[in-house]
Amino acid sequence: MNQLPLSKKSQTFIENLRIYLFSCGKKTNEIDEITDELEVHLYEAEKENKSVEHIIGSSPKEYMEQISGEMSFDVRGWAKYVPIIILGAFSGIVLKDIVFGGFQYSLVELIGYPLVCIVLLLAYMWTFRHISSHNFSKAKEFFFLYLVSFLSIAMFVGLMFLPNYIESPIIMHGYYGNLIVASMAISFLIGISIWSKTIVSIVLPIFYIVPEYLVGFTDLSVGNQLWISSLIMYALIGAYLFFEMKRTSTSAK
Amino acid sequence: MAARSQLLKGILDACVMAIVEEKAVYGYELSQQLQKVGLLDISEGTIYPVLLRLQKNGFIIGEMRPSASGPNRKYYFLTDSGREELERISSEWMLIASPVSQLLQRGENR
Repeated sequence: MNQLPLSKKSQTFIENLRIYLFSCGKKTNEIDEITDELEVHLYEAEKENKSVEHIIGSSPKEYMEQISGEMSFDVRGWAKYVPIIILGAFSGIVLKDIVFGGFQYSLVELIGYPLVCIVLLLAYMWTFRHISSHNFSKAKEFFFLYLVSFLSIAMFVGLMFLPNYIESPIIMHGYYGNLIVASMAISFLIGISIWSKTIVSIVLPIFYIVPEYLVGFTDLSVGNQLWISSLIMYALIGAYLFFEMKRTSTSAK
Repeated sequence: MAARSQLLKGILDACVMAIVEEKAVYGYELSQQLQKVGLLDISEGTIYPVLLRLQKNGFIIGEMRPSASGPNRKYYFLTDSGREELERISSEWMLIASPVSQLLQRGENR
């Protein structure tokens, strides 16, 4: 990124375009190239008192679609990302289940988890694309994000109850089996962390498992434990994302 | 105005290649050149989807160069196949531009 002195409006447009193109599955280096180029254009145009609207026309969404339409889909990149995201999410879920009682899944769950992950991945991509290509108010943006978060919870909860309605073989492991699966899951999450050069694949499972584990030691009712641990988990994820964003924007400067 | 924009869309690729053929230009400079020759209806950002398409087809290539007055800029050059494509579009344009003009003027004189 050029980090040029741009107006707030231009900065927002560039950031939104970046998110939009990424959620369309475009190649990262191509996204960097086109956004850098547009940044230079906006910088020179603003020196001559031209507005963003003057450059891109009246509809940011239409303009983003035009740009996106000329860029190729990153098949190889997403072919790497999708299995890694799904397996990473599944590793976290498996680890949590082992901590709270052991590896025990029905065939319905083993098929359902990857499917739910794919659906949610598409839902999140669509949401980010939708938000970034419209000038929504903060309240509306939160509404869409809340909607997709609710969908995540609903789908996972649905999957928890699905085996009660559809009978299928159950796969269980003993002590050593759990130990092997847990080691594999931890190794995989560490592997993702090294590959992606971020600690996100390590901190997210910690935020996902540890609060519930610690709250389990309190005398609170099961219902209260559930919502308090969920609240702590989301607060920790929010705090992590906030500090991460602050860190990256500081290092960019 | 909208009709003019629609008509221009079909020929904009060739207009961009014609400017790039004269000399290597960067995005902002290209948009100014288009305005200078009288194509005022094209919003400046319109050139970027065109530049992406021309690069994808191998008709132009981009190269980053430092600038004395600000950030690095991406300059565009016409490739050999771009030159061939420009020639092809130019001759096609000549074939239709003249009869279309005559036809439309005949309509005006009625």
